[in-house]
Amino acid sequence: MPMSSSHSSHSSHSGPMQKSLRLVTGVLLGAGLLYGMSMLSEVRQGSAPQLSQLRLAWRLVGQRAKVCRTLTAVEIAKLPLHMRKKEDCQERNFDYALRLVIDGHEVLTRTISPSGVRGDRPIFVQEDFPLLPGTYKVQVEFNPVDPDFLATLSEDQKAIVLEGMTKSVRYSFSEDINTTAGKIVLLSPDEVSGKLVQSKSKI
Amino acid sequence: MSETTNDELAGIQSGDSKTPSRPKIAGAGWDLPPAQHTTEELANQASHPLLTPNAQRPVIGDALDRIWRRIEGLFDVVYTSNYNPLHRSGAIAILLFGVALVTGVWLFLMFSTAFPYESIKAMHEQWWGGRWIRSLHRYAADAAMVMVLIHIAKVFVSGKTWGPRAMAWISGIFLVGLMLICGWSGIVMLWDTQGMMVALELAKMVDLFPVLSEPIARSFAGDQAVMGTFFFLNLFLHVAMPLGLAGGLWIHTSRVARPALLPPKKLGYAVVGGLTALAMLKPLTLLAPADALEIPGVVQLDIFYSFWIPIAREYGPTGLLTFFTSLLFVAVSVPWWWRPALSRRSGPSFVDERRCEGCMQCYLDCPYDAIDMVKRENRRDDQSAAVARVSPDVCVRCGICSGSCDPMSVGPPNRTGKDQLRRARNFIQAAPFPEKAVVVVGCSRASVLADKISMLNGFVHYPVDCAGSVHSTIIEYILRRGGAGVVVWTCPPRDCNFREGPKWVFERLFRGREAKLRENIDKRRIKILHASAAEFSKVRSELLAFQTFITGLPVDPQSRNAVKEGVDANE
Repeated sequence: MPMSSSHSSHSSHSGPMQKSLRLVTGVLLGAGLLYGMSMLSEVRQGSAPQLSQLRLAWRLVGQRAKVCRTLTAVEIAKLPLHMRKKEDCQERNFDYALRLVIDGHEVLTRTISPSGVRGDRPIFVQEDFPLLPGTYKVQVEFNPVDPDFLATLSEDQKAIVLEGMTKSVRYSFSEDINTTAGKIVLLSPDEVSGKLVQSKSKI
Repeated sequence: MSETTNDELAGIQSGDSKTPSRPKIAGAGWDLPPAQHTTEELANQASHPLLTPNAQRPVIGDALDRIWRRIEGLFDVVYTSNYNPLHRSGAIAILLFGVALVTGVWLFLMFSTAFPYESIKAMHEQWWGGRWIRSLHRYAADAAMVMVLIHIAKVFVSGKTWGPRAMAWISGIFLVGLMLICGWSGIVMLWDTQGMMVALELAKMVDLFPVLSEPIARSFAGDQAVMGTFFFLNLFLHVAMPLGLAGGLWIHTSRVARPALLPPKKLGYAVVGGLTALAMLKPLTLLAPADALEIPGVVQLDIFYSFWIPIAREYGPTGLLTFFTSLLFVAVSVPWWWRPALSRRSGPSFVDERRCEGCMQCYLDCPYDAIDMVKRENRRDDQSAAVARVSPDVCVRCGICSGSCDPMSVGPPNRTGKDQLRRARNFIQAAPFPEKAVVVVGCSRASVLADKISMLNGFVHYPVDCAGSVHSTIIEYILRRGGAGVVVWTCPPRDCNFREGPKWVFERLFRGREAKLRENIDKRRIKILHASAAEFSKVRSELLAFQTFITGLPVDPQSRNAVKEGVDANE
């Protein structure tokens, strides 16, 4: 629909020179704006890192103990027929103590509880420590501890739990690590040996 | 110049014996002044002060609007108002969304969730295709975000954020959120340094909510490979988001009749062509692959989607969450804090049902679907079965219905056809037109340069709120009261504050759309001029050419003297 004018007799006021100038300006302005946008699509941000990092990262499942108590005949009789069982069992995922020592300085001691609202999900460890590039003597200890739980148990049950703790996964690491700026040294369990090993970026 | 009589006004309205007369209006009485509104409600609404509908925003918005108009004016000068991309920011964003969709199909076919980076690298090495298609995909997404930001800024400074437009504003914010999620998932898909950083920082933020037993960020610690299911879910998100965008767009435009979803073809070709050329000449660089065991140093960011990364790096996940929450709160609450004071608000349109003929024209013309046709209650035999009714919650007070109503029975308070006619009469009474004057009926936004018009020899500026709301009777009245010609200066059609004003005024004056001009009016003496204030040089030359043109026309029998004689004869 010709919306610009009711009069076809009125030609455009701008001459060919003006049109050419406008076209050139339009193309240049458009090109400039598009180029500016493309620059903003790839903006460099940040600065080269001066530090290195030590990272402890792993995931641990199934480190638990099962403590059972034999029900009395009276207790069993109180239960509905379809729910009667001989034992009342409690399963408990252990808490773990994590200790990190770098060059003889204890930099971290933490008790890590299993995740989840009921504490029945895996334990996750992810700790990052910035370090100046260099060589360090690093010691890591990761052992099950659960004094609160043990305090609630009888001696017999305590013995069962402690045995379970003895059999559960434990990590220890004591080695020199060499760090470089911008790189992370990762300590995580080796899939085959199950021991903590260090790994670095392969790039 | 003699004073206009009520009889004369009635003559203009109902037509004379030489021309086909309009349908008789039930109960119409041209007892001017003042405007007659029979019901108490209409009387209350009519007590609203006259407001320029273009200025319904906070006072500070006027200053912002002036700055914005200057920026737009620069683009008007270069691209003309017809092809100014700033006037069609929303439609261009939709077009770019389409470009991203088309290029995305090819990328989808070439992408592997098992080897994300490697598949992108293979594409990048295809200099003849993959490299520029990937670049075009990203540039289209970036340009879409730019256009959306322009759209937001324009809507904000125009004050189109409150009342009936609040839903469009909030749904627009929702759309921007979906765009960001779509963009983030696209960046993560590459699994390069930027992709990993976006994934990691967002994961850390989500992990602040203790919902998942296993923190998401742990997936990127480096002690285990990132699972293929992660990339599959990310791809799913990236593909599913456009569906949400399409749905959101439907809500966003649901209160607009006849939404213009695409820009003019030439502008569309220029935008797509420009981006394609950019993608070919300056393709995106391929960043280094993601490495969980590297401390992010200098990272290349797409600022349009990863603008928040510096905040995350500086203030951590809590700082990032605070930033996003604050941004969302400020954006969503705009309709409540960026609205004009009550004194700057016009009342919604209303219908004088006694005069409504049920012709449906206002219902058809309303750019916001704010008018419904309902069954008339207590109908007399000479009245139509249906009557127009305005939904005040949807009406944006543009007044375009005032121009579409032949019997002048609809419009915002003080801006109906009758009010316009009264104002025109007062205007001419106060300053009669000089001999052979060309009257420029200028919309308040386009013709801010009224003084420049008045300085042109033989021109008179007659200001109106919105050219689209001008009743054709006003044009007729001006011609009969001595105007040698009338130029209706509207906003550019692609930049009308109320979307369809220029279109409807053209249809009414030249295409017989109601309320049309009577046939005995010499339409050669009328001109519609679409231009922004920045295009005044064009306006001036068009005005002068029009003045020259009408000088050569024979004397109009409908001119002031002819009318006066007719009135005298009747007397």
